[in-house]
Amino acid sequence: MNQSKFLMKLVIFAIIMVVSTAWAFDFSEIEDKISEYDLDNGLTIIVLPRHDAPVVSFVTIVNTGCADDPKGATGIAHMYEHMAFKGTEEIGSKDLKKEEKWMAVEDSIFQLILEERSKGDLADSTKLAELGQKMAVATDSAFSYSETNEYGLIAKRNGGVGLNAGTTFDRTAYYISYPSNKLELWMAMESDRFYKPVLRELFKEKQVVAEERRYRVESMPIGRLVNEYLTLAYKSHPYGEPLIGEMSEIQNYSRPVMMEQFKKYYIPRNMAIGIVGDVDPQEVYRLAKKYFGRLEDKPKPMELMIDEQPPFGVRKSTIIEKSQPMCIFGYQIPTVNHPDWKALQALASYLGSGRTSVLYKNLVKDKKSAVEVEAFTGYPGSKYPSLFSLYCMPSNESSNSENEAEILAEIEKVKTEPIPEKDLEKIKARAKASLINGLASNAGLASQLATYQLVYGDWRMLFKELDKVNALTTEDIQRVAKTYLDPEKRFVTYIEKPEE
Amino acid sequence: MYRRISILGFLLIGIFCLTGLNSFAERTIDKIKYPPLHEIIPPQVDTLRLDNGIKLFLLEDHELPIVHARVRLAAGEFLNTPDKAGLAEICGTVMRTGGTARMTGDDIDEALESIGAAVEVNIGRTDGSASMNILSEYVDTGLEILADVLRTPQFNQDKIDLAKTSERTSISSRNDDAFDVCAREFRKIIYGKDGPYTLQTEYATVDDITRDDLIDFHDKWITPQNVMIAVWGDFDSDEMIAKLKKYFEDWAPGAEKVPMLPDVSYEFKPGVHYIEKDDVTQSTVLVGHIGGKTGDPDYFALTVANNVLGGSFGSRMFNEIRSKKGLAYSTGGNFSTTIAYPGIYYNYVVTKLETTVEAAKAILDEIRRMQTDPPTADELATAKESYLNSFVFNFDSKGEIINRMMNYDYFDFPQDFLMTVRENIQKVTADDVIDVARRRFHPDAMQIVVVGKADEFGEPLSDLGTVDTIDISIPSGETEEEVAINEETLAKGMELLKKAVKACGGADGFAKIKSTKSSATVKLNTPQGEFALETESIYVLPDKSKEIVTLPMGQMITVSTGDSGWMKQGNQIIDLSSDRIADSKKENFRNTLHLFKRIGSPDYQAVYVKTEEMNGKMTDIVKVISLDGKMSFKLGLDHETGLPVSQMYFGETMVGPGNLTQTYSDYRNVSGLKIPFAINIESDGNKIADIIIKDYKLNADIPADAFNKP
Repeated sequence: MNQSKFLMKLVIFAIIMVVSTAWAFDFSEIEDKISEYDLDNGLTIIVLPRHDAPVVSFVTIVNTGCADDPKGATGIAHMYEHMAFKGTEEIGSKDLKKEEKWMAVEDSIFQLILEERSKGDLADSTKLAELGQKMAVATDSAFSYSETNEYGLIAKRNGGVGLNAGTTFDRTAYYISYPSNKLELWMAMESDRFYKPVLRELFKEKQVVAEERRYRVESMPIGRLVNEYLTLAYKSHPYGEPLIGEMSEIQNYSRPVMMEQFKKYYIPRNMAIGIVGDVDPQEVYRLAKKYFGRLEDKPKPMELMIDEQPPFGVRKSTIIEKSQPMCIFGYQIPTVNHPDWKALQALASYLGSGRTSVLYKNLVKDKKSAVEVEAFTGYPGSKYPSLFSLYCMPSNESSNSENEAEILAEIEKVKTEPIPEKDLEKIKARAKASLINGLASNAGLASQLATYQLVYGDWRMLFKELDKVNALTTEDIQRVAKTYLDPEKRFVTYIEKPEE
Repeated sequence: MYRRISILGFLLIGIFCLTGLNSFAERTIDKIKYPPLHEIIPPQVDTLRLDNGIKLFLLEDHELPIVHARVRLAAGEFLNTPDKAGLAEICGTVMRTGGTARMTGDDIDEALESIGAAVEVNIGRTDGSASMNILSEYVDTGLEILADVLRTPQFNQDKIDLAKTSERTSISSRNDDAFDVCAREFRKIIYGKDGPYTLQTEYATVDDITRDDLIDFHDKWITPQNVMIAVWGDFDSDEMIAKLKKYFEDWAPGAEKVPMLPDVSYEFKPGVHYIEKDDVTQSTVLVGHIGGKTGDPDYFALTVANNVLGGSFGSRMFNEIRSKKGLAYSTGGNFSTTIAYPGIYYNYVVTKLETTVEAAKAILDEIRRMQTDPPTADELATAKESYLNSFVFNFDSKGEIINRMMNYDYFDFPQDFLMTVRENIQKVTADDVIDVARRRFHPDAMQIVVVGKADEFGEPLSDLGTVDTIDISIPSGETEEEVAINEETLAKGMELLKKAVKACGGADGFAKIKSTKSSATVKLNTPQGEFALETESIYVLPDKSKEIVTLPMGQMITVSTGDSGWMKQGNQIIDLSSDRIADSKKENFRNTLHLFKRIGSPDYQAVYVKTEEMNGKMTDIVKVISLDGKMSFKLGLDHETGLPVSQMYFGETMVGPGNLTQTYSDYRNVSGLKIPFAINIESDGNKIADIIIKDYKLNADIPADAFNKP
């Protein structure tokens, strides 16, 4: 008996060994081709030559996001991202001097408007109306001297594609791809937008952002639910503020506040650039020194030190409205740099990622008590302590509280018995597929390299991802469930229909 | 020496001021000298043909351990007939979801998801595809599933039903987006309705698609001679060929090759078409006519001409219509081509309602100007540069390259076509542009389609030409049961109706009714669960009604007064849309009280249909039809007593239009008339609502301003 048990263990061990080595992929071929350049002013540029086609993708990531927004100006990081397409001193103007003159007029009138607004209920509405009219004149005059959209037009004329940008709480990213002989054009335009930006058309663009807010946050129930959830989970830390900003604060954005934010965070030490495509790294370095070398070296701003305290109990908020009931609840977890991060990601994947996950199979397919269910980490950000979140939409046979109880029961199971080995293998396989697919496109890879450089201080960590995933054991997953998922310390938000 | 230099300097500055279009000295970016672009070296793709006719395209790429495959299916909706529109699309969907000989659809989902892989199938209008994306170590699993969904799909009925439900939802929302509506109707005008390129799915066509239809379509058209396979990624070509042979070579060839895409016969003539959409603040305008084929000799000049005219940033339409006149944010155009059949030449603008006609005229002006004003050197350069400079992105992914190659091969189209485009575009001159604009743009024979709200147009649409109004209302798919209308059935129908009137209190009593006022509890059964609402209703015969529903966030008031109406919720008051008003009229027509009141001089026909058992009782069915034939419903009358026990009609349910049945019970006496106090509404066996009347008054005092808009 002992012998056969021993043989079984050997067989299982052999299978696991075979399977484990299959997970490994040798990234050293790609890694060895990558060059890293650190300019004197602290800017890091990571370059991977890929000569399949004469194209190149550029991704610039700045280590600032909406978590850095000053109080009273939530969403300003996102607003700045919009502004970054408005051009520079050389691009985007018909007559810079006249434009700047009218922009200065705009700024001084707006300052008066802000002062009057700040009086709250004592504000003089007649005065505000007059100032509003003067403002409109100034804005129209300034606009008449702007060469609107010139930045984008130049990019397009020169074969640029995929001109885009995105802001999260943690970071802001700028993307574009060019035919590879336009390398210097990108260098000149991209460095210029961080060297001498001109925040033209600010007051017009604010209305565009206001519309975006109406669409994303205000008119969709899920937008309201998420807003409420984050507010509950973060009462001190800015992760609890809306990414796009509060409507009133959007209306109050001013150039001086934006420029202050820009000067503090858009500095070379706080950025990383990924360049992947048909380029010669030495040429990239030469041009980077010439153009990006102009950016002033300033000290890297400190990260926030706002510790969100653990809740004393279960914080709950219910939104009553006549729409589809839904629920989001979650727990505090550490940052992406914490050793437990990978195990927490794996736990979320096991519980609720896709149609083969445990919660989906139990609640949606078998019991039909939920129509949708998901588990995820990293929202709203991961630079600062994050959340392990569960989302569900109950079916009409069930309810938010029933789903919540079912999900909690599944979590308790993970704490008491380790998850099956084969499920861990599936998680590892999915992680591998996902990582590898993410490296396929030039733009995707450029983005990953720059991101990892900022998040870990080392782009090479991208290629160590799989090792970290492979090292996970079922014990790790059980342990993090016990450590972080305390049912007595949670944040819960519901959308419920009104009582009959 | 010093002075000469300074004079020279002065002169140079002077020259800059004269020639400079902007007040800058040369900008940094203008000083850059670009090296020539590296040559585009398309990768080497291996091809071979299997014995059963399948052509393979292979491209190795070992940078990452992934394998992609795409199977080109020659089959498309164009092979279908209008009465079964949607067949090809649903066939494609269910090939993937409906299971195979080896695995159920759900098992396939599980197997793929657990390894982060994907296999999808999709069939569109002119062709289809099956794709695979998988880590190279699992390639055998992927290829097996890919082969199975193509070769042995089981078309499980529950997945067919799911696909049909999804299709019905698409149909019901196809008029939601103005641009979609405009584009769709424009296509129909150019290619002809119900043609191979414009087959439109309807509820009726979806209902008519059977499992056998799907199997037949698959067996006939998803066959080796109609399939091509491209594989690219991390594999060894010899090994991959062996695998592809293993999974595909013994697939027996079918009987027929998919025919070539049919030609289009087009007549150039002008037309102005209007589609009313009353929930918009902007009009969507499309102006154009037939386009051309990709192999057309004019292709190069047309591409440049199109870029000058409507190719986004810096084009004439962009500058004039958007920047200068401020008429639109969204405007542009395209002389679109396809390889096998002509594309569509279109120009579009989305503008506020008031400036609809002005914007359409502006488009026509710009098209005419293309025929008279040659492009300036700057315009020509911009138009060519945008194309030429981003040309290289046609080659930036191996998938794009191999799939294009496969597609060109299918049509026997020259493989080096793109390279000739580049050379030929470079050669296009301003004269070529004017010449092609004169020959190929026909501003006097443009089809114009406008989606908007005509009563807010600043100028009348008829300024552009005789207007044809297109009705986009979605056909209900209602099947008309054959009802014999003759002297006998008419006489019997009316007799039964009169019996019902008598059973409910008599014609005199009904003739005296001027108004009704009631309150009720409505228990609605929705997908989200059951919930109860309180309602109050006022009805002043013949056609004024007011309904007040109490919701948690306040009241919702709906008033209908014949040809108009309004709705109020919170502080918002909106006019009822024409669709809602039409529904209201139908509701009014079905009102039994109203029906009975008119029994003396009926403006409807009552036709006896049959007598059958319903809910355990013998029931006489009478069909009531409006004199113009446009509205009808059926009444179920108790065979013994004559009391109305049910009403059957076609109307809106939670999942789109359907057959509804109301059943009446708990009859009580109100001022000498019998009124049902319990009404149950269901559709196809599913309960929709229960109405329990709490209070009911006839001829109560109703204030004169009860229906006025607040």
